Amino acid sequence: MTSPSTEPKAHSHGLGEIPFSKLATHGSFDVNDFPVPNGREEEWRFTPLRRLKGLHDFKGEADGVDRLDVDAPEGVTVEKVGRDDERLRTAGLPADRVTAQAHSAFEEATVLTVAKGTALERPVTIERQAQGGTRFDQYLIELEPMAEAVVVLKQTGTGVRAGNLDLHVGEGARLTLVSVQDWEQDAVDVTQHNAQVEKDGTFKSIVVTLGGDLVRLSPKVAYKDRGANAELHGLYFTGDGQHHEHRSLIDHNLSSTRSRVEYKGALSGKDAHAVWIGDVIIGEGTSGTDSYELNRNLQLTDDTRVDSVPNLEIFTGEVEGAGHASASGRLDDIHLFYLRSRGIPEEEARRLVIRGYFLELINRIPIEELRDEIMGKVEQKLASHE
Amino acid sequence: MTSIAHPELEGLGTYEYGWADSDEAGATARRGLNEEVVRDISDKKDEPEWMTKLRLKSLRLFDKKPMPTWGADLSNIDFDNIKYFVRSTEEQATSWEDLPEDIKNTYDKLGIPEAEKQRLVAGVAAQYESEVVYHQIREDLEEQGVLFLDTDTALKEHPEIFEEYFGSVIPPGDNKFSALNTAVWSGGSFIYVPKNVHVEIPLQAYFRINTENMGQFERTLIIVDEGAYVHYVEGCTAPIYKSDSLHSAVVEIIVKKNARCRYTTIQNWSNNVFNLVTKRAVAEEGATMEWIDGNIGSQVTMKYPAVYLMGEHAKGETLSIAFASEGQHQDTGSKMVHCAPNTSSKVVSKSVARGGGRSSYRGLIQVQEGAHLAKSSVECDALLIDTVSRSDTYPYNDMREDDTELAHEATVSKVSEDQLFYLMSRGMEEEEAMGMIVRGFVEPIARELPMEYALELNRLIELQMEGAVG
Amino acid sequence: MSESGRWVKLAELDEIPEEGTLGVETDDETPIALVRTEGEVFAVRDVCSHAEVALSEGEVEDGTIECWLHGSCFDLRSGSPINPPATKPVPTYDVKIDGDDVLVSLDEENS
Repeated sequence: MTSPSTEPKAHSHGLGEIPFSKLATHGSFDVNDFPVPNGREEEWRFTPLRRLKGLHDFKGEADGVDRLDVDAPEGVTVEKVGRDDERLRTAGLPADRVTAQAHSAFEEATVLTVAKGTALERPVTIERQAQGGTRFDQYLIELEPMAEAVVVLKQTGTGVRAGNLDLHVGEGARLTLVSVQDWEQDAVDVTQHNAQVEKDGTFKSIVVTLGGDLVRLSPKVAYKDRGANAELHGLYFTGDGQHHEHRSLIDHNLSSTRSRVEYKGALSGKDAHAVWIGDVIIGEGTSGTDSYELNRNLQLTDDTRVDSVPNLEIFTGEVEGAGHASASGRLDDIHLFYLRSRGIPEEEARRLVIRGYFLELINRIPIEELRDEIMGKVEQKLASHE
Repeated sequence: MTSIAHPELEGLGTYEYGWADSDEAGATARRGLNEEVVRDISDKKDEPEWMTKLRLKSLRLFDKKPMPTWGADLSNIDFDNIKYFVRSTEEQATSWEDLPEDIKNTYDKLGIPEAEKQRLVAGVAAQYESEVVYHQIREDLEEQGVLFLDTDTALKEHPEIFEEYFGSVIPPGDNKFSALNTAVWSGGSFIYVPKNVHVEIPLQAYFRINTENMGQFERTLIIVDEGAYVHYVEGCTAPIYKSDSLHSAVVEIIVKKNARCRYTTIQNWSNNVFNLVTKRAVAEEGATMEWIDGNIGSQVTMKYPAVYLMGEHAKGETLSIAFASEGQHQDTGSKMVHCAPNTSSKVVSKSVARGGGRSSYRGLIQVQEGAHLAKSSVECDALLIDTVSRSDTYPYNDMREDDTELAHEATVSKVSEDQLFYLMSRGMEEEEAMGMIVRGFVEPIARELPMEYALELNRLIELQMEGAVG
Repeated sequence: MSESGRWVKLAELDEIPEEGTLGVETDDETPIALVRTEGEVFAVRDVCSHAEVALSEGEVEDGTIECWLHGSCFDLRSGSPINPPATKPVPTYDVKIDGDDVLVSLDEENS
């Protein structure tokens, strides 16, 4: 366990050891290993600490209640386990004080296991409705070797939530996670995804962030063997006063691994703030890494703010390919003009352009009803801002 | 190591400027930094009270500010071992003949009088250790009211303009090294170009550190008045010593309405120099600021030339090349801050790493509220020559308006086997082929340099590439 | 701005040092820097417009307050930045002194 005191922004006088990588996380399970942030730290400088409702310096009591409905087909084991379950400490370390707080304070964890070689006939659906208060959570989704599963996590309701979702993708297994943050307007959600992918395994995640006052989601991927593959996709629609922050970290610590990151967002309304941090590390001595990151932002109104930071650290010359692109801008006038010249009213034209913008991403969700539902919610949000 | 492909390079070492001249002044200079040292610098220069006060305040800020830990490893800088002020000669010379023999020899070896003789430059400044030892500007420019002085003289002769602008673009408290520079600054260039005057050929400055453990803290202030144009070029070299030297400059530039300024640096410090420089320009309405930045030498460079686009239709551009060889870390980039409507910026950064060197791009594009229709594009390309080198990209994009366009792209690639194979099948040695690929990679920037600097850059790259193969 | 505004007592005059500052928070947790210089008291939002830094930790000089982290100075009357890296103003508030009390008008931010 590494103390977070070696974090890049630590105000030492430069005589301490400078970390080799500025992006690698120095996590810990123990909240006390992290100082209370003041907002100037690299990992906190985009997050309005005041709106975390005390999560970063938690002193109260975790009094929140969630209603959890798990619908799992045959081949899935669902367990509630206590803090002492060994499996809960095998995934990656919480990377910041809030997720470490969650790991230090959760009472019971939910563990889903998909048995070896099982390809599920239908998706697992976890409906989580937060019913107020503050609550810390721990989840683990485990795919044994050669298993295949689609897991949908739908989150609604309100409250202050922090947690860790560990994902273990066994050898040759394929996991698709769809995580929908459809919180009510005043909810706070700080969550870390810790994915570990074994040899020839594939982890795909599609996160859809629509609701909440403040959502900070940090998907982290580590590769356990060659041939492992990770694809992280994200869609966010950030409205009036909302803060949506996505911080991915892909650590290509082994040779012959692949990653794709693609996050697309739309912002509309006063003080809508979207943050995307995409960290990629290509480790020393590795070869054959293939990595690309993309972030696009559509700013639909004035008074919105986007921070887009694709960080890339490469410690080897033997890369297969690495790069990133980030672009931000407004709705394409040419598109709108074209549609309107065809007699389509402006409101409808805007709707169509946004639909087109998100379509490819939404099509990655392997469930038709869910695709329609999400597209519906996006359009609803768009309409409410016109 | 294979043979040198170009006969003109024969006989050159890997670092050509690494000789040291006799060092009488440097040998007796004191080490370490405290209030007395700062007062002493100010006294020796016979400065006005406000400058002494500002220096002392900056020293307090320097002491208080933490070392930056987000960039390169700076833990080896020993502030107590540095000589903060070395006066190499009492008088500033206005002709080469008047320079003390040893200093003249240095600049002869660097080829400076040649450039001046051939009228390749409109003015020359040469800084040796802490102070400018030689200064010359063409008479016709002087008649048009162009000022090109060393910064110490400017403070004496133009106090009103100096007080108005000094520290107005980069406050002492901006960062630890701007505080240090403001506390102990000495030398540097001061340029004022009056309204509508176009200085057609470059003004040029050479910076040379000769003393071991020397700290060079030049301070440059350039004001380009409305509708005027100037191109300023600087080159930097130092001897190779066993222990480290520090170069920590501050460059402030004000580009007024519809004016244009181009600032070119070819930094070829020896591999024991820490090069920690703050460069920032303010561009007013319709103004253009261009940074052309070549970082070849030094042990560590941290430098992110910035343009604050304050007026409508202002433009900022940075073209940079970084070459990191064994033991070097080039942590460079650019910052563009769009504060007004219709402003545009462009950053093109090319970096090459070899022999375990590390190149990092670190940049900021910020579009603030009210900067409607701002446009920005950033392109970073990194080339890795071997398996042990390292390249990082840390860009930061912050957009606060809906009608702006921002595009950022980065690629990292290794030298293509196909290209190498092709060139070698045409009879080229591997090293020569590799050199050609690297030159092609940086060509978009090399072609923006004045001719003699473009040649110089190519030559430096060839030297850096020696031994890159096999 | 106006007399009809909501005046809130944020400090007593002698809590603010001469040529110095006092950082306070309002009931709704808005941080405000009270600055006393040359016989006057000013109130500005206590967060630099450049980075998340309390201005009240900075030095006061010539009618400005200087952010200690990156050196930008702000005019205490207008809130405007004098020099980079900050380029945006900080909100200012009207102040009146009533006996020993420092009253600040929170209804309206002037920026």
